[in-house]
Amino acid sequence: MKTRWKLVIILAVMVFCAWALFPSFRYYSMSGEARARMSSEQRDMYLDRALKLGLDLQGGVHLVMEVDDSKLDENAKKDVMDRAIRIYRNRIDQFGVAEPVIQKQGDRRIIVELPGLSDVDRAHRILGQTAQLEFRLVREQDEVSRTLQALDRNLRGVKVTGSVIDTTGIDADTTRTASKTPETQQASAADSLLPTIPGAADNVPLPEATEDRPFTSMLLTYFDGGVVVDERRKETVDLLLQTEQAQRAVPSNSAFLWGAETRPVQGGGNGYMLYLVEKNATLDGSTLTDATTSPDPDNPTQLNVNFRLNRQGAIIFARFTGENIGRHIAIVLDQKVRSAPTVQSKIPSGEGRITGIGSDDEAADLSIVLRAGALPAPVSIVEERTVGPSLGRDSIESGKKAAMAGFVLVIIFMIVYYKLSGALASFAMILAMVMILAVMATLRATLTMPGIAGLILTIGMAVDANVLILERVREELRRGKTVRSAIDAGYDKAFSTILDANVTTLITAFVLWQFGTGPIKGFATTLSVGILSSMFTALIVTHVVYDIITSRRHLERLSV
Amino acid sequence: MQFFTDANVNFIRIRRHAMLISAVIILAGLISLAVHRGFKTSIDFAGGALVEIGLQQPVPVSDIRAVVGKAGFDGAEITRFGEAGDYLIKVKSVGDAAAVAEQLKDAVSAGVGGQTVDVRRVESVGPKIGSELRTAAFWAVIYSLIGILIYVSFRFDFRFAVAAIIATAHDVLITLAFFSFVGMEISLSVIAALLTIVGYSLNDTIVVFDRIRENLGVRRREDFGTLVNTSINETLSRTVITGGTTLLALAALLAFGGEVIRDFALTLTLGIIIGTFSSIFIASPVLVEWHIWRPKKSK
Repeated sequence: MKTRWKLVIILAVMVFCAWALFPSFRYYSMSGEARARMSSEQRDMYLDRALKLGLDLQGGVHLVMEVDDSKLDENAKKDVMDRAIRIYRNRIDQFGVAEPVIQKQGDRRIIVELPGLSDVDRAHRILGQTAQLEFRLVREQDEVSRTLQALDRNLRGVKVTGSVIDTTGIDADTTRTASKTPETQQASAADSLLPTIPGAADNVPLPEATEDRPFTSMLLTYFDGGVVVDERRKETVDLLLQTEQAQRAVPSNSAFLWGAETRPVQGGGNGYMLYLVEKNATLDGSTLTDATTSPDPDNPTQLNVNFRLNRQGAIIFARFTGENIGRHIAIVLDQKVRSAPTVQSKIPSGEGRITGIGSDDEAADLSIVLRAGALPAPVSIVEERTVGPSLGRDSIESGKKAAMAGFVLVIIFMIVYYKLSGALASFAMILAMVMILAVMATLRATLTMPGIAGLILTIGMAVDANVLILERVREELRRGKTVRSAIDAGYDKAFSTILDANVTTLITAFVLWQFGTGPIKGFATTLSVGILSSMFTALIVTHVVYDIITSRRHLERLSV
Repeated sequence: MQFFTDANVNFIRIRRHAMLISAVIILAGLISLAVHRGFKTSIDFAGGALVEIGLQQPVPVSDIRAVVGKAGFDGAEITRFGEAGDYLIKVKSVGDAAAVAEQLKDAVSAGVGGQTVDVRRVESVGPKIGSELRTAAFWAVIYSLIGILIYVSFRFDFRFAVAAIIATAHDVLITLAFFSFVGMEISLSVIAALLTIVGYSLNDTIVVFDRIRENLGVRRREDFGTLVNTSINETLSRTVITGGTTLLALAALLAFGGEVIRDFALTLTLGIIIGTFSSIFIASPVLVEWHIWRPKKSK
């Protein structure tokens, strides 16, 4: 009776294993062609139920992102992680990576794994951009001019050596803000302030900063709503703008923002645009409903990103453009000006476009991140791993080889040393291995290289349980017991040993699982599942087989 | 076939010699640690960039090293990896790993006569991650020790629990001492292996303890030292067979597992030998010493 119930359980486990592993078996034995022919529902079923391979086995990108919530209020901090994860899932789904892993780690980190992706730049663009879209009015030329004069005055005496700014030479009394300075009323055009050199080719040395115009001497020219800075000077200008004296020169309702990309400068070389824009955005991307790409009508080799705002956004945008015809509006993405077109007429439709995007991939990625929405806070990439698919293939091959070789060696030894009983123990170990894979597939766990290592280690553990039992049985036989009672006594006495020994290992595996990340977690999962499976097969499966054999006929000798 | 059917080695008599050997190794390990100023930590802990490249025609490692050094990466580690023509370049610079990889690719390509360089893997780890992992690993060890202490006290006796912990600490210390001798880098997978050793060594120790517990119930008259010695001898064949088969599986891992898990397999191999040694010469003798110091009357 008892044996019958055990048999039922064993059969149920075997059926479960077959059911759990069938999709994996089918999927991995399929040719690439057959996989490509599958319908998307079929593919989803296989991807969901087949055993997943970790990044280290199939290649891809592993990124750890850190969310900077320092600028959020308490309320927004609470769900910032969940919102960020939702937006990431949205972006990655639209990007089209199969089986991404998006996981919260700790309070401020998100792990993202993109299997099969090898282009790190794209991963950066899809995940690294906050995608905060804003529309800001660009300050007019006379205000730019006044601000530049105030900057020159406030920064007089500054010493620039390399990337070090020394402001100790500045006379504190002369620093005043732009708006309070009377002589700026008759502002000359900004370009008259600027150096007259047309541009800087690579071989032309940059002019030294002059004493009376410490700031404007760093700039090239005024152009199309902003000033142009030679790319070699960008860092210096940035540092100058961050000084306290410079901050006081900038009107409190305005801010300087850089252009996103360099543009060629007349006369050779490249320059960055620097815009003076209003500090608070009139409109942001939260009202954006769609973003698509289309070829630029003026330059068909380039793609533009077209966006559409919802009704509410369209109303604000219409008023904003209507009031500012003839002025520049900066389209700002993540605090960088993508473009600053002049408003030709009121735009009632709520549609706009971003031009001047480097490559087609970049345009596609930008439309994805705009569609998926802005992250609630800026993120930075703190860890990054790329695993080439070629390494993945090698790992799979060597992992398979190692597992097979280890297994075969152990089985040969068991059969030589314990004869038929060893063969039965080997069968139990194979069953344990199948069970581990089945449970892993059901848990939707991912098989990684350390996971395979854990699997190989469980071969050792499974052997131990069987060795403990068989050694005990041999001991009992040596004491002169009959086969039947030696088997029963052997299992009985080995039970407490196997239990205690395995529970202690389980404790370690559990702690590893709790504290480990990525690879260690994978190892701990296979180890835990392995311990439980090997206990089941060694204590229950083999015992039932002996029970059946000894109940059918009387054994004089046991092959052990 | 049977080994050790009537093993009767007096392990308890030579316990102090064994302990002395262990103490000497651990002490030497500590001295070596002091001389080397701590462990070599892998990129997992130190932070930096790891780039794996493949070349069509293999060149000597020294050539690659020269090229990488010229490109401005001081103290880079270059190892030949897997097949001929595969190299693993580790630079301990924090920055954009993709940019580092590009730089290395260009530098190597120029340095080896314009061969195409296949960048197979790029990893970057910030040092901050490193320190977090270090703390996590430390706590993982502490918590697993506490868990084991509680479980063994509950199933056996407090003395057994303490002896098991001492044996485990011994294994970890000796393994770390060997790491220091050979200058092995501590990486994530080495830590995983270290924790596995903890599990394996305990497993081994528990099997012997289990036999002692069983014998304590049957042979009440026997001297405690003799009883422990008998228990060790009775479980000796199991200890050797299990250790041997696990080593067999590990040998396969070492031979075919590839570069990725070599450190892991090496650590485990070492750990299993040490773990087997400690369950015989450390764990049980600690019980005996304790008994000599403070005999327990009840048993």
